[in-house]
Amino acid sequence: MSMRFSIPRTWRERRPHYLLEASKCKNCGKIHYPPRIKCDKCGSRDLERIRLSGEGKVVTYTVQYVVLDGFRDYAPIVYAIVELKEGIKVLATLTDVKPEDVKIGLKVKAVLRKVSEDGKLGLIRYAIKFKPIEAGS
Amino acid sequence: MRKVYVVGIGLTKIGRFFDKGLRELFAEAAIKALDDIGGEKVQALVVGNMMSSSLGEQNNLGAILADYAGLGGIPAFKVEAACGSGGVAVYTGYSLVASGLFDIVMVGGVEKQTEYPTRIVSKGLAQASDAEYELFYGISFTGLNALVMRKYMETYGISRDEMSVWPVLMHKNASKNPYAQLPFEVTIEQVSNSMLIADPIRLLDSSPIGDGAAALVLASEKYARKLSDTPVEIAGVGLATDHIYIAYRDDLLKLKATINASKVAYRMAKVEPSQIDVVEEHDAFTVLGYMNLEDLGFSERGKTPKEIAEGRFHPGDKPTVNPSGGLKARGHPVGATGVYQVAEVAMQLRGDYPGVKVNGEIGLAQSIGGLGTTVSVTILRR
Amino acid sequence: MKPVNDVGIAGWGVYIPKYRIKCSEIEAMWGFQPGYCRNLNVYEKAVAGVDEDTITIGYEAAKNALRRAKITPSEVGAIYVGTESKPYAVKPSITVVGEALGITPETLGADLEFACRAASEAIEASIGLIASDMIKYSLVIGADTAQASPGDVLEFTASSGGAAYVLAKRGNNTVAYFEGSFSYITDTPDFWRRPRSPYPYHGEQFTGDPAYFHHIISAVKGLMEFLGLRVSDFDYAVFHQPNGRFPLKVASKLGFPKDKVLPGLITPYIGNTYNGSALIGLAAVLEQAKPGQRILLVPFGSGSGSDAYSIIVGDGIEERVDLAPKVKDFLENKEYISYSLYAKFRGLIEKFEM
Repeated sequence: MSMRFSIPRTWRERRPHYLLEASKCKNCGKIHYPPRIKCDKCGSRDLERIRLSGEGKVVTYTVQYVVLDGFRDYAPIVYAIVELKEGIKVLATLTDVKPEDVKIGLKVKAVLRKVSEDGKLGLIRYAIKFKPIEAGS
Repeated sequence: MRKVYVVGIGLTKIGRFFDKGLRELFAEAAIKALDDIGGEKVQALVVGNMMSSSLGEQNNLGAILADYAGLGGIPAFKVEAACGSGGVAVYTGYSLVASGLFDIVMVGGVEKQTEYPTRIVSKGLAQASDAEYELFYGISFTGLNALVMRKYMETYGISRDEMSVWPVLMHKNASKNPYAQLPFEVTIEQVSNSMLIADPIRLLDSSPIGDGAAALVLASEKYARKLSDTPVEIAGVGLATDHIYIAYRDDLLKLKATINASKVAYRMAKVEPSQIDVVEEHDAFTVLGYMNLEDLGFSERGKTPKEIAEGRFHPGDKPTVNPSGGLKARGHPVGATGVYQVAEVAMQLRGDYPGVKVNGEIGLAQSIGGLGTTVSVTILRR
Repeated sequence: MKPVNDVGIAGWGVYIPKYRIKCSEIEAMWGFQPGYCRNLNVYEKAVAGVDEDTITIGYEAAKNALRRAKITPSEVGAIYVGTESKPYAVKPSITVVGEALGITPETLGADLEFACRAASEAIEASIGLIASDMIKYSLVIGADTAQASPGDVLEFTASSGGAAYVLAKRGNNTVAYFEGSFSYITDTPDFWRRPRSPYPYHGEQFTGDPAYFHHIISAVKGLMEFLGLRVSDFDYAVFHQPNGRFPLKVASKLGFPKDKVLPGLITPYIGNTYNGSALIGLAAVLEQAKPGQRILLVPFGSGSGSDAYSIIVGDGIEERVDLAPKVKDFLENKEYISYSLYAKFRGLIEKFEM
């Protein structure tokens, strides 16, 4: 079997992917996702790591039918840019929702789900996806 | 800085060439360009290419292509900015001559996208996005652009059929272009009903996958008249970058990199948008076709679809936009496209463009890498 | 068994995927006689979506439990997952769930296996850790995406879902406590899966009397004798529920009236969630129980073993019920799928991808 997912990379990036871990500038307050080491607003390097709320609404979305290698099981895939409570936007897959039920403004919340697998023998990638806020969730 | 001129041009047709690899395709374009300057030697080679490594297992591309084009041993290297590699190659070639380091430089662009099935090529193309936070989720480059298309349509109230005006115009222009990959007309109905790729982007909203190579020879003023009867000056260049993670940007409906790069180029060339006669802009998808004109200062935000439907930017108008058929119909051999665009504008200005002709003095070419992540703008003057 | 210091439940949560496949759909697919499932008293079962697995199910159940416990994840000292459908045969599920919840790294825990009662063993271990003051809070998750060979009768019931419990010393934020427990295990091969097999084997009738009934009855009798309790002392009886019939049958054998079992009998609507089975039933009961009531909880795992717990409900439980989605909410939030979609979700279709 040839490995496609990098082990160190999967491990290194797990917190932003599992927890929506972002960086926040202690100097000017700007929040960066993905997290940074230097604030792009004020240039400060005094940053701390915070966890985003995971609650937000859909700003725009697409339903992807032509999928990349390895994603056939998940097709069609709904991708969205979600604006979180904190005002920061993230891009992620929407799950547990039918394409025809997605609309701009849909309220969603973050959940941990499988994103893809490196075949049957390799690593599994987990990350935050978003699902509609409704009863039973 | 010294003045720089386009003195030689060589292009291949764009299409699926299973019988030609990177070396053969590039050599074809390069040899044409060298013929165009009467067989003179060039002193250096800059090549724009996106996927020789991810799809072709080939690095050190500059050296190989120089060798195969009969330019073995000269300074040669590749520059990469995803689908905007071609524009960056022109920018780099320009700087090599303007700085005085060289007098005669070849700028090339070449891409092979037909070596693998679509699902694998798509993965290569998706590397133009954020590998860890966008491609990670399996979003294709088309999916990423679809997010912008939906926002554009929703924000400005543009219907599906109104969006379809762009591909119709592109195909009409390309039908006269002997280099085009898709030289046939299409109707609004065909565009609006074509197969969905990533809703709302349909097949006929998207530039095709194809192979192609383009080469330019740039020369300093001293050599320009010796090598060409119709040298075209590169009057202004600009290049800018933006956050690759599109969700981090403030406004999804403008490409800041285009705005910033074009500002620099306009200032350097000492021209305003209203003076531009011909434009070759980077319409990888329908929505970009419209947005680019807004970012480059030719039309108001959200109004472009209606203006084009009313006849603006068509052949005969000032500026005429994408007389080649644009990325949509002329084709988009990604890393090479930026070089094609500058070649096409130069041919328009020197009077030997073989497709839809534009009579003009000043032209502009815009090349985008990723979704507005790296943008280069080149302004040429007769 | 009874610890030196009483240990109780500070929070509970469940997660049941929204997709359901009707038993009748499976009957029709494999040519069973219509109404076969009536024998099992199961109508439909929950199916994990294509991007769900034991880790993602455990994560959501745990989030709900932490909400009800009203503690921050970093206060959790141990995290366990009891499951027989681990995403990795070797690589713990608790570390992914633990990181995703913000619990790691200063914690202990592991993935446990004992068929459907692994989570129960985790509860016993947690009781020991907490009563001895080694840790303050333990998070125990029982979750599965149970495997069954297509066409096997097991396919009618093997389903996906999970429950999670935050345990703490009685009085420290708890709303119920364990009065005592009794465990009974023997080497009884009623159900197993070898490493290279994608699906388990089961002994059909053998899974009944020598396994399920013998161990549950032995554990319950042992508990009642140890605590000096009778059937009438219990207000609810929640048994491991591999189908909708066995719990009613064992209740009848033990002398428990049906109405004490039904509130915690969830399998008819979601199938057998294996490590989630008895624990989801317990959650349903906690969501209606009143302070002072006594609950009998009896998980069972093939191989075989059973534990019987006596749980006393305490003050303050009613305020916690609505802090997170209830079992009822998950039962109502459902979407039916066809066998073909079920086959895709469960990876039953072999694809050849180069």
